[in-house]
Amino acid sequence: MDELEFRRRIFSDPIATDPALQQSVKNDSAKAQLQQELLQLDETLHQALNIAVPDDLQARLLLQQQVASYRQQRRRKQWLYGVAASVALVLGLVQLRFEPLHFGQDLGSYALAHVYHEASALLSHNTQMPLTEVNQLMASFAGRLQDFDGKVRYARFCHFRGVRSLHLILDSNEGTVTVFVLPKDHGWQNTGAFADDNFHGQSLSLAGADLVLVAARQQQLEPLAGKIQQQFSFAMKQQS
Amino acid sequence: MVITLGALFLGMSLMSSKDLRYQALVNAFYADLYRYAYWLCQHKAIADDLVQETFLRAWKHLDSLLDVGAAKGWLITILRRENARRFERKQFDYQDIEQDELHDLSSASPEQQAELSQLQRLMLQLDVEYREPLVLQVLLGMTGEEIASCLELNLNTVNTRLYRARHQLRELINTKDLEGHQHG
Repeated sequence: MDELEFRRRIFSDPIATDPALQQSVKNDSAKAQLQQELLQLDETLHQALNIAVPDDLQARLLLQQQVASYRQQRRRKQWLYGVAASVALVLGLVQLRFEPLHFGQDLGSYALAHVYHEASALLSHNTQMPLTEVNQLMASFAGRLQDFDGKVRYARFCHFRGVRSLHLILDSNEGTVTVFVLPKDHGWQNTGAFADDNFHGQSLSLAGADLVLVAARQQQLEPLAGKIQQQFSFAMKQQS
Repeated sequence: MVITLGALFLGMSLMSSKDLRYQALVNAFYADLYRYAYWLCQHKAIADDLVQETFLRAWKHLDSLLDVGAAKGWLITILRRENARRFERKQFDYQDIEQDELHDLSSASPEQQAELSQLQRLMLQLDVEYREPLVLQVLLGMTGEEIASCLELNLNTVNTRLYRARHQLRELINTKDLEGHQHG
Protein backbone atom coordinates (compact mmCIF):
# COMPACT_ATOMS: atom_id res chain seq x y z
CA MET A 1 0.00 0.00 0.00
CA ASP A 2 1.64 3.24 -1.08
CA GLU A 3 1.72 6.40 1.00
CA LEU A 4 -1.05 8.16 -0.92
CA GLU A 5 -3.45 5.22 -0.63
CA PHE A 6 -2.63 4.90 3.09
CA ARG A 7 -3.39 8.57 3.73
CA ARG A 8 -6.58 8.41 1.70
CA ARG A 9 -7.83 5.49 3.73
CA ILE A 10 -6.69 6.54 7.22
CA PHE A 11 -8.13 10.03 6.72
CA SER A 12 -11.48 8.66 5.61
CA ASP A 13 -11.67 6.33 8.62
CA PRO A 14 -8.95 6.49 11.29
CA ILE A 15 -10.24 3.44 13.17
CA ALA A 16 -8.93 1.38 10.24
CA THR A 17 -10.43 -2.06 10.70
CA ASP A 18 -8.89 -3.20 7.40
CA PRO A 19 -6.07 -5.80 8.11
CA ALA A 20 -3.87 -4.39 5.33
CA LEU A 21 -4.13 -0.95 6.88
CA GLN A 22 -3.37 -2.28 10.36
CA GLN A 23 -0.34 -4.09 8.99
CA SER A 24 1.12 -0.99 7.41
CA VAL A 25 0.56 0.98 10.66
CA LYS A 26 2.42 -1.73 12.58
CA ASN A 27 5.39 -1.55 10.20
CA ASP A 28 5.76 2.22 10.12
CA SER A 29 5.99 4.44 13.22
CA ALA A 30 5.25 7.61 11.23
CA LYS A 31 2.01 6.04 10.01
CA ALA A 32 1.18 4.93 13.56
CA GLN A 33 1.78 8.51 14.71
CA LEU A 34 -0.58 9.89 12.04
CA GLN A 35 -3.29 7.40 13.02
CA GLN A 36 -2.96 8.40 16.69
CA GLU A 37 -3.29 12.07 15.78
CA LEU A 38 -6.36 11.41 13.69
CA LEU A 39 -7.96 9.26 16.41
CA GLN A 40 -7.28 12.05 18.89
CA LEU A 41 -8.86 14.54 16.50
CA ASP A 42 -11.95 12.35 16.19
CA GLU A 43 -12.17 12.05 19.96
CA THR A 44 -12.05 15.83 20.41
CA LEU A 45 -14.36 16.31 17.46
CA HIS A 46 -16.90 13.97 19.00
CA GLN A 47 -16.94 16.09 22.14
CA ALA A 48 -17.19 19.28 20.12
CA LEU A 49 -20.08 18.01 18.00
CA ASN A 50 -21.94 16.72 21.05
CA ILE A 51 -23.74 20.00 21.66
CA ALA A 52 -26.44 20.51 24.29
CA VAL A 53 -29.96 19.53 23.25
CA PRO A 54 -32.88 21.75 24.40
CA ASP A 55 -34.21 20.40 27.71
CA ASP A 56 -37.84 20.26 26.62
CA LEU A 57 -37.35 18.92 23.09
CA GLN A 58 -38.06 15.33 24.03
CA ALA A 59 -41.26 16.28 25.90
CA ARG A 60 -42.42 18.44 22.98
CA LEU A 61 -41.86 15.61 20.50
CA LEU A 62 -43.95 13.23 22.62
CA LEU A 63 -46.67 15.84 23.06
CA GLN A 64 -46.89 16.66 19.36
CA GLN A 65 -47.50 12.98 18.61
CA GLN A 66 -50.25 12.75 21.21
CA VAL A 67 -51.98 15.75 19.66
CA ALA A 68 -51.64 14.27 16.19
CA SER A 69 -52.87 10.91 17.46
CA TYR A 70 -55.88 12.52 19.10
CA ARG A 71 -56.72 14.35 15.89
CA GLN A 72 -56.48 11.16 13.89
CA GLN A 73 -58.71 9.35 16.37
CA ARG A 74 -61.26 12.13 16.17
CA ARG A 75 -61.19 12.00 12.38
CA ARG A 76 -61.76 8.24 12.59
CA LYS A 77 -64.75 8.79 14.86
CA GLN A 78 -66.18 11.39 12.50
CA TRP A 79 -65.76 8.92 9.70
CA LEU A 80 -67.68 6.30 11.69
CA TYR A 81 -70.49 8.78 12.36
CA GLY A 82 -70.55 9.49 8.65
CA VAL A 83 -70.90 5.81 7.83
CA ALA A 84 -73.66 5.40 10.42
CA ALA A 85 -75.55 8.38 8.98
CA SER A 86 -75.19 7.00 5.45
CA VAL A 87 -76.48 3.60 6.52
CA ALA A 88 -79.47 5.25 8.20
CA LEU A 89 -80.17 7.27 5.07
CA VAL A 90 -79.99 4.19 2.83
CA LEU A 91 -82.33 2.25 5.15
CA GLY A 92 -84.74 5.18 5.04
CA LEU A 93 -84.66 5.30 1.25
CA VAL A 94 -85.12 1.52 1.00
CA GLN A 95 -88.17 1.74 3.24
CA LEU A 96 -89.56 4.56 1.09
CA ARG A 97 -88.97 2.49 -2.00
CA PHE A 98 -91.13 -0.34 -0.68
CA GLU A 99 -93.76 1.79 1.03
CA PRO A 100 -93.99 4.89 -1.13
CA LEU A 101 -95.43 7.99 0.53
CA HIS A 102 -98.12 6.50 2.73
CA PHE A 103 -96.54 4.86 5.74
CA GLY A 104 -98.97 2.19 6.80
CA GLN A 105 -102.04 4.03 5.54
CA ASP A 106 -104.47 2.85 2.95
CA LEU A 107 -106.95 4.80 0.92
CA GLY A 108 -109.87 4.05 3.23
CA SER A 109 -108.31 5.19 6.47
CA TYR A 110 -107.01 8.31 4.82
CA ALA A 111 -110.45 9.08 3.40
CA LEU A 112 -111.91 8.67 6.90
CA ALA A 113 -109.31 10.99 8.36
CA HIS A 114 -110.17 13.50 5.67
CA VAL A 115 -113.84 13.36 6.46
CA TYR A 116 -113.21 13.88 10.17
CA HIS A 117 -110.85 16.71 9.49
CA GLU A 118 -113.38 18.65 7.47
CA ALA A 119 -116.56 17.40 9.15
CA SER A 120 -117.66 20.70 10.65
CA ALA A 121 -116.98 22.65 7.49
CA LEU A 122 -118.79 20.11 5.36
CA LEU A 123 -121.94 20.11 7.48
CA SER A 124 -122.36 23.84 7.13
CA HIS A 125 -122.49 23.59 3.34
CA ASN A 126 -126.06 23.06 2.48
CA THR A 127 -126.56 24.76 -0.84
CA GLN A 128 -127.30 23.01 -4.08
CA MET A 129 -124.58 23.33 -6.69
CA PRO A 130 -125.67 23.50 -10.33
CA LEU A 131 -124.75 20.39 -12.26
CA THR A 132 -122.86 22.37 -14.90
CA GLU A 133 -120.57 23.79 -12.26
CA VAL A 134 -119.94 20.33 -10.87
CA ASN A 135 -119.19 19.04 -14.34
CA GLN A 136 -116.65 21.81 -14.91
CA LEU A 137 -114.76 20.43 -11.97
CA MET A 138 -115.32 16.86 -13.16
CA ALA A 139 -113.83 17.80 -16.51
CA SER A 140 -110.33 17.79 -15.12
CA PHE A 141 -110.81 14.06 -14.48
CA ALA A 142 -112.38 13.67 -17.90
CA GLY A 143 -115.56 12.80 -16.01
CA ARG A 144 -119.21 13.65 -16.22
CA LEU A 145 -122.13 13.42 -13.89
CA GLN A 146 -125.40 12.51 -15.59
CA ASP A 147 -128.68 13.74 -14.22
CA PHE A 148 -128.43 13.19 -10.52
CA ASP A 149 -131.70 12.78 -8.71
CA GLY A 150 -130.59 14.51 -5.61
CA LYS A 151 -128.40 17.46 -4.91
CA VAL A 152 -124.71 18.08 -4.97
CA ARG A 153 -124.15 19.92 -1.75
CA TYR A 154 -120.40 20.45 -2.02
CA ALA A 155 -117.82 20.13 -4.78
CA ARG A 156 -114.26 21.26 -4.44
CA PHE A 157 -110.76 20.12 -5.29
CA CYS A 158 -108.75 18.93 -2.38
CA HIS A 159 -105.43 17.25 -1.92
CA PHE A 160 -105.16 13.67 -0.91
CA ARG A 161 -101.52 13.70 0.30
CA GLY A 162 -100.24 15.33 -2.82
CA VAL A 163 -102.81 13.77 -5.16
CA ARG A 164 -105.31 16.22 -6.55
CA SER A 165 -108.80 14.90 -6.06
CA LEU A 166 -112.35 16.10 -6.22
CA HIS A 167 -114.33 16.15 -3.01
CA LEU A 168 -118.12 15.85 -3.44
CA ILE A 169 -121.00 15.59 -1.00
CA LEU A 170 -124.18 14.21 -2.48
CA ASP A 171 -127.65 14.18 -1.02
CA SER A 172 -130.10 11.72 -2.50
CA ASN A 173 -133.04 9.60 -1.54
CA GLU A 174 -130.68 6.93 -0.36
CA GLY A 175 -128.97 9.35 2.01
CA THR A 176 -125.88 11.56 2.17
CA VAL A 177 -122.57 10.36 0.88
CA THR A 178 -119.12 11.86 0.57
CA VAL A 179 -117.33 10.98 -2.68
CA PHE A 180 -113.66 11.44 -3.45
CA VAL A 181 -112.74 11.25 -7.11
CA LEU A 182 -109.12 10.28 -7.69
CA PRO A 183 -107.18 9.84 -10.88
CA LYS A 184 -106.23 6.26 -11.67
CA ASP A 185 -102.53 6.81 -10.93
CA HIS A 186 -103.01 8.00 -7.33
CA GLY A 187 -100.62 5.36 -5.96
CA TRP A 188 -102.75 4.35 -2.97
CA GLN A 189 -103.85 0.86 -2.19
CA ASN A 190 -107.52 0.29 -2.84
CA THR A 191 -108.96 -1.25 0.25
CA GLY A 192 -112.44 -2.20 -0.88
CA ALA A 193 -114.69 -1.75 2.13
CA PHE A 194 -113.60 -0.03 5.33
CA ALA A 195 -115.27 1.30 8.45
CA ASP A 196 -114.87 2.77 11.90
CA ASP A 197 -117.34 3.55 14.73
CA ASN A 198 -119.07 6.43 12.92
CA PHE A 199 -118.53 5.97 9.21
CA HIS A 200 -118.10 3.26 6.68
CA GLY A 201 -117.08 3.36 3.10
CA GLN A 202 -115.76 1.58 0.09
CA SER A 203 -113.61 2.29 -2.91
CA LEU A 204 -114.91 1.81 -6.43
CA SER A 205 -112.67 1.29 -9.37
CA LEU A 206 -114.25 2.73 -12.49
CA ALA A 207 -112.82 2.70 -15.97
CA GLY A 208 -111.31 6.20 -15.90
CA ALA A 209 -111.02 7.03 -12.19
CA ASP A 210 -111.21 5.62 -8.71
CA LEU A 211 -113.92 6.69 -6.30
CA VAL A 212 -113.98 6.48 -2.55
CA LEU A 213 -117.37 6.66 -0.89
CA VAL A 214 -117.84 7.49 2.79
CA ALA A 215 -121.20 7.56 4.54
CA ALA A 216 -122.58 7.50 8.04
CA ARG A 217 -122.60 4.11 9.66
CA GLN A 218 -126.38 3.71 9.69
CA GLN A 219 -126.73 4.29 5.95
CA GLN A 220 -126.75 1.57 3.36
CA LEU A 221 -123.88 1.99 0.97
CA GLU A 222 -124.79 -0.52 -1.73
CA PRO A 223 -127.73 1.40 -3.29
CA LEU A 224 -125.65 4.59 -3.24
CA ALA A 225 -122.72 2.80 -4.83
CA GLY A 226 -124.92 1.34 -7.55
CA LYS A 227 -126.47 4.69 -8.32
CA ILE A 228 -123.14 6.47 -8.45
CA GLN A 229 -121.66 3.86 -10.72
CA GLN A 230 -124.52 4.45 -13.12
CA GLN A 231 -124.42 8.19 -13.06
CA PHE A 232 -120.70 8.92 -13.07
CA SER A 233 -118.86 8.33 -16.28
CA PHE A 234 -115.21 8.87 -17.06
CA ALA A 235 -113.38 8.82 -20.31
CA MET A 236 -110.48 6.39 -20.44
CA LYS A 237 -107.21 8.21 -20.13
CA GLN A 238 -105.45 8.41 -23.43
CA GLN A 239 -102.21 6.51 -23.43
CA SER A 240 -99.50 8.86 -24.58
CA MET B 1 -72.90 -2.57 16.45
CA VAL B 2 -70.59 -5.40 17.41
CA ILE B 3 -68.58 -4.89 14.24
CA THR B 4 -68.32 -1.15 14.89
CA LEU B 5 -67.11 -1.69 18.46
CA GLY B 6 -64.66 -4.30 17.24
CA ALA B 7 -63.25 -1.93 14.63
CA LEU B 8 -62.91 0.83 17.22
CA PHE B 9 -61.17 -1.46 19.66
CA LEU B 10 -58.85 -2.79 16.99
CA GLY B 11 -58.11 0.75 15.87
CA MET B 12 -57.29 1.82 19.41
CA SER B 13 -55.07 -1.15 20.15
CA LEU B 14 -53.19 -0.63 16.87
CA MET B 15 -52.91 3.04 17.69
CA SER B 16 -51.40 2.44 21.09
CA SER B 17 -48.82 0.03 19.67
CA LYS B 18 -47.93 2.69 17.11
CA ASP B 19 -47.70 5.26 19.90
CA LEU B 20 -45.28 3.04 21.80
CA ARG B 21 -43.08 2.58 18.74
CA TYR B 22 -43.05 6.30 18.18
CA GLN B 23 -42.07 7.01 21.76
CA ALA B 24 -39.23 4.50 21.59
CA LEU B 25 -38.03 6.15 18.39
CA VAL B 26 -38.06 9.61 19.97
CA ASN B 27 -36.25 8.46 23.09
CA ALA B 28 -33.54 6.66 21.13
CA PHE B 29 -32.81 9.25 18.45
CA TYR B 30 -34.04 12.74 19.31
CA ALA B 31 -30.70 13.97 20.70
CA ASP B 32 -28.59 12.60 17.84
CA LEU B 33 -31.06 13.94 15.32
CA TYR B 34 -31.08 17.40 16.86
CA ARG B 35 -27.28 17.56 16.85
CA TYR B 36 -27.11 16.33 13.27
CA ALA B 37 -29.73 18.91 12.27
CA TYR B 38 -27.76 21.65 13.96
CA TRP B 39 -24.51 20.78 12.16
CA LEU B 40 -26.48 20.55 8.92
CA CYS B 41 -28.25 23.90 9.06
CA GLN B 42 -26.06 25.74 11.62
CA HIS B 43 -29.03 27.24 13.43
CA LYS B 44 -30.52 26.05 16.71
CA ALA B 45 -34.10 27.19 16.14
CA ILE B 46 -34.17 25.69 12.66
CA ALA B 47 -32.64 22.47 13.97
CA ASP B 48 -35.40 22.32 16.55
CA ASP B 49 -38.05 22.84 13.86
CA LEU B 50 -36.49 20.26 11.59
CA VAL B 51 -36.50 17.62 14.32
CA GLN B 52 -40.17 18.27 15.09
CA GLU B 53 -41.15 18.10 11.43
CA THR B 54 -39.11 14.95 11.01
CA PHE B 55 -40.76 13.13 13.89
CA LEU B 56 -44.23 14.27 12.83
CA ARG B 57 -43.63 12.85 9.39
CA ALA B 58 -42.07 9.74 10.89
CA TRP B 59 -45.18 9.19 12.99
CA LYS B 60 -47.46 9.47 9.96
CA HIS B 61 -45.40 6.96 8.01
CA LEU B 62 -44.35 4.74 10.89
CA ASP B 63 -45.92 1.70 9.23
CA SER B 64 -43.39 1.92 6.41
CA LEU B 65 -40.52 1.41 8.87
CA LEU B 66 -40.22 -2.37 8.99
CA ASP B 67 -36.61 -2.84 10.08
CA VAL B 68 -35.69 -1.37 13.47
CA GLY B 69 -32.02 -1.38 12.50
CA ALA B 70 -32.76 0.99 9.64
CA ALA B 71 -34.51 3.54 11.89
CA LYS B 72 -31.58 5.95 12.24
CA GLY B 73 -30.92 6.14 8.52
CA TRP B 74 -34.65 6.43 7.85
CA LEU B 75 -34.98 9.41 10.23
CA ILE B 76 -31.91 11.11 8.78
CA THR B 77 -33.31 10.73 5.28
CA ILE B 78 -36.59 12.33 6.38
CA LEU B 79 -34.73 15.17 8.06
CA ARG B 80 -32.59 15.84 4.99
CA ARG B 81 -35.74 16.04 2.86
CA GLU B 82 -37.35 18.42 5.32
CA ASN B 83 -34.21 20.55 5.19
CA ALA B 84 -34.26 20.59 1.38
CA ARG B 85 -37.96 21.51 1.45
CA ARG B 86 -37.07 24.47 3.66
CA PHE B 87 -34.99 25.87 0.81
CA GLU B 88 -37.75 25.25 -1.71
CA ARG B 89 -40.20 27.13 0.47
CA LYS B 90 -38.17 30.16 1.23
CA GLN B 91 -34.63 31.34 1.06
CA PHE B 92 -33.82 32.32 4.61
CA ASP B 93 -31.15 34.76 5.48
CA TYR B 94 -29.40 32.86 8.21
CA GLN B 95 -25.87 33.87 7.45
CA ASP B 96 -25.30 34.97 11.00
CA ILE B 97 -24.00 31.86 12.64
CA GLU B 98 -24.66 31.55 16.32
CA GLN B 99 -21.41 30.97 18.02
CA ASP B 100 -22.22 31.95 21.53
CA GLU B 101 -23.33 29.50 24.19
CA LEU B 102 -23.51 26.80 21.56
CA HIS B 103 -22.44 23.91 23.52
CA ASP B 104 -22.49 22.01 26.65
CA LEU B 105 -18.84 22.29 27.61
CA SER B 106 -19.38 22.82 31.29
CA SER B 107 -17.67 19.59 32.31
CA ALA B 108 -14.45 20.41 30.44
CA SER B 109 -11.48 22.35 31.81
CA PRO B 110 -11.01 25.93 30.56
CA GLU B 111 -8.20 24.79 28.27
CA GLN B 112 -10.33 21.99 26.81
CA GLN B 113 -13.26 24.38 26.49
CA ALA B 114 -11.17 26.70 24.36
CA GLU B 115 -10.06 23.82 22.16
CA LEU B 116 -13.58 22.45 21.69
CA SER B 117 -15.00 25.87 21.05
CA GLN B 118 -12.38 26.47 18.38
CA LEU B 119 -13.09 23.11 16.77
CA GLN B 120 -16.80 23.93 16.66
CA ARG B 121 -16.09 27.17 14.82
CA LEU B 122 -13.78 25.41 12.40
CA MET B 123 -16.43 22.76 11.68
CA LEU B 124 -18.81 25.49 10.62
CA GLN B 125 -16.20 26.74 8.18
CA LEU B 126 -16.17 23.44 6.34
CA ASP B 127 -18.43 23.10 3.31
CA VAL B 128 -21.61 21.22 4.18
CA GLU B 129 -20.72 18.46 1.72
CA TYR B 130 -17.64 17.67 3.83
CA ARG B 131 -19.12 18.52 7.21
CA GLU B 132 -22.21 16.33 6.82
CA PRO B 133 -20.53 12.92 6.26
CA LEU B 134 -18.02 13.70 9.02
CA VAL B 135 -20.83 14.38 11.51
CA LEU B 136 -22.59 11.18 10.48
CA GLN B 137 -19.40 9.19 10.99
CA VAL B 138 -17.97 10.75 14.15
CA LEU B 139 -21.12 11.75 16.01
CA LEU B 140 -23.65 9.12 14.88
CA GLY B 141 -21.13 6.30 14.41
CA MET B 142 -22.35 5.39 10.93
CA THR B 143 -20.25 3.28 8.55
CA GLY B 144 -19.19 4.43 5.09
CA GLU B 145 -21.89 2.28 3.51
CA GLU B 146 -24.61 3.68 5.75
CA ILE B 147 -23.53 7.24 4.99
CA ALA B 148 -23.43 6.50 1.27
CA SER B 149 -26.97 5.15 1.44
CA CYS B 150 -28.28 8.16 3.42
CA LEU B 151 -26.63 10.75 1.22
CA GLU B 152 -27.36 8.81 -1.98
CA LEU B 153 -23.71 8.82 -2.98
CA ASN B 154 -21.38 5.97 -3.86
CA LEU B 155 -18.91 4.74 -1.27
CA ASN B 156 -15.83 6.17 -3.04
CA THR B 157 -17.32 9.64 -3.06
CA VAL B 158 -18.15 9.37 0.64
CA ASN B 159 -14.58 8.26 1.45
CA THR B 160 -13.14 11.10 -0.59
CA ARG B 161 -15.31 13.62 1.23
CA LEU B 162 -14.36 12.20 4.62
CA TYR B 163 -10.70 12.38 3.63
CA ARG B 164 -11.01 16.01 2.54
CA ALA B 165 -13.03 16.92 5.63
CA ARG B 166 -10.32 15.72 8.03
CA HIS B 167 -7.59 17.09 5.86
CA GLN B 168 -9.10 20.57 5.75
CA LEU B 169 -9.86 20.48 9.45
CA ARG B 170 -6.25 19.65 10.30
CA GLU B 171 -5.03 22.44 8.07
CA LEU B 172 -7.41 24.91 9.67
CA ILE B 173 -6.23 23.82 13.13
CA ASN B 174 -2.58 24.19 12.15
CA THR B 175 -3.22 27.65 10.71
CA LYS B 176 -5.00 28.72 13.91
CA ASP B 177 -2.21 27.29 16.03
CA LEU B 178 0.32 29.18 13.94
CA GLU B 179 -1.65 32.41 14.33
CA GLY B 180 -1.88 31.73 18.06
CA HIS B 181 1.89 31.32 18.32
CA GLN B 182 2.56 34.45 16.28
CA HIS B 183 0.22 36.49 18.46
CA GLY B 184 1.58 34.89 21.62
